[in-house]
Amino acid sequence: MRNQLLIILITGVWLLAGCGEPAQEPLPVNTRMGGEFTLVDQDAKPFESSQLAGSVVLLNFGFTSCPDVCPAVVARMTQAYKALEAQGDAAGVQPVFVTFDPARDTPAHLNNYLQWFHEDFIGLTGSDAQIAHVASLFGVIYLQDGEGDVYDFTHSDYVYLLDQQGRVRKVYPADFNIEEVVRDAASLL
Amino acid sequence: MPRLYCNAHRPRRVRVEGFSLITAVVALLFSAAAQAELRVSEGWVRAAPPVATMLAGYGVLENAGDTALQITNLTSPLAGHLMLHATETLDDGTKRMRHVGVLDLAPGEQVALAPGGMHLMFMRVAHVPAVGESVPVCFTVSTMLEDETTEIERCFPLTVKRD
Repeated sequence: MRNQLLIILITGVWLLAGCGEPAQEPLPVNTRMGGEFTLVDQDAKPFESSQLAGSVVLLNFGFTSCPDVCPAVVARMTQAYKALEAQGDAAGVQPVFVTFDPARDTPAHLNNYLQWFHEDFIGLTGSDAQIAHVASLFGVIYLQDGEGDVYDFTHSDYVYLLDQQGRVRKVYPADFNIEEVVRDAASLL
Repeated sequence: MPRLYCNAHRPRRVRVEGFSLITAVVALLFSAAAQAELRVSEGWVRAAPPVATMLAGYGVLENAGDTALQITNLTSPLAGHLMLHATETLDDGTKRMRHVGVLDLAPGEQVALAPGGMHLMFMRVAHVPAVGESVPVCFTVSTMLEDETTEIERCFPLTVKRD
């Protein structure tokens, strides 16, 4: 009888401990997105997607002449990255911004723009063909509206979480929950 | 040619009861501008990198008067061109900006300018203001009573804030 009570007690404690802090389910791998690409970084050097291997990546596509949506997304990515810094996880995470406006977003301009948000940002540009290729890998839509010096884009604005093997593990809307992204990124480290 | 009143010399509100019809009409014409009372609260401009070429501003616009008004133009000493834009989400989830040429505000109506929605778009900025800096924005407010259109300019300071 005493042994039965002991077993029940131990089982109860084990169950309660398990309920207190549920383990996060592993994020599924999105097999429809992602792949290898070559672009140009903010130092005007060729950049291979393989250079991101080993890092958890927060990836977004946009253009710096966008005043409303794009800077808000980059600001939220910055807040998430700073939260990861605060908990000591930022070393394994890499924020990346890819422009689809290479005519205006030169490497030097991207560098100056992104450094203001956080010095760890990687800014990527490239030829029209290179950008079209990487955009297609992630299902990014960007359509130029207008011509000349004054033009805009109709575009998607998702944020992609990539694991250390470059696989897409989650896609977030532009107004993503910062705590969720921090938790998901940390779970991949 | 629309009449332009500066803020310091807005026509006074006039009571019309007990006067002749002509007096009443004249009084109504003068009172229209006074009652088209645009207010802007919680106004802010998104802080941006010094190399930014466009800026966005937000806040709550309110018609605190009892006459319908229209915002027909915007100016700011910060920008060569200032427009009202709306970010729209299309069926496929993409976002695009649409120029809002005229904004109607019914008496008592509020319209929120917020990230991801309607916003002020500063173009050809003279400089990128620092966090905490005050940016004046002037609204051309138009009201119509009978066949008379009255325009006044109302200016409000927006504070630069970081997300």
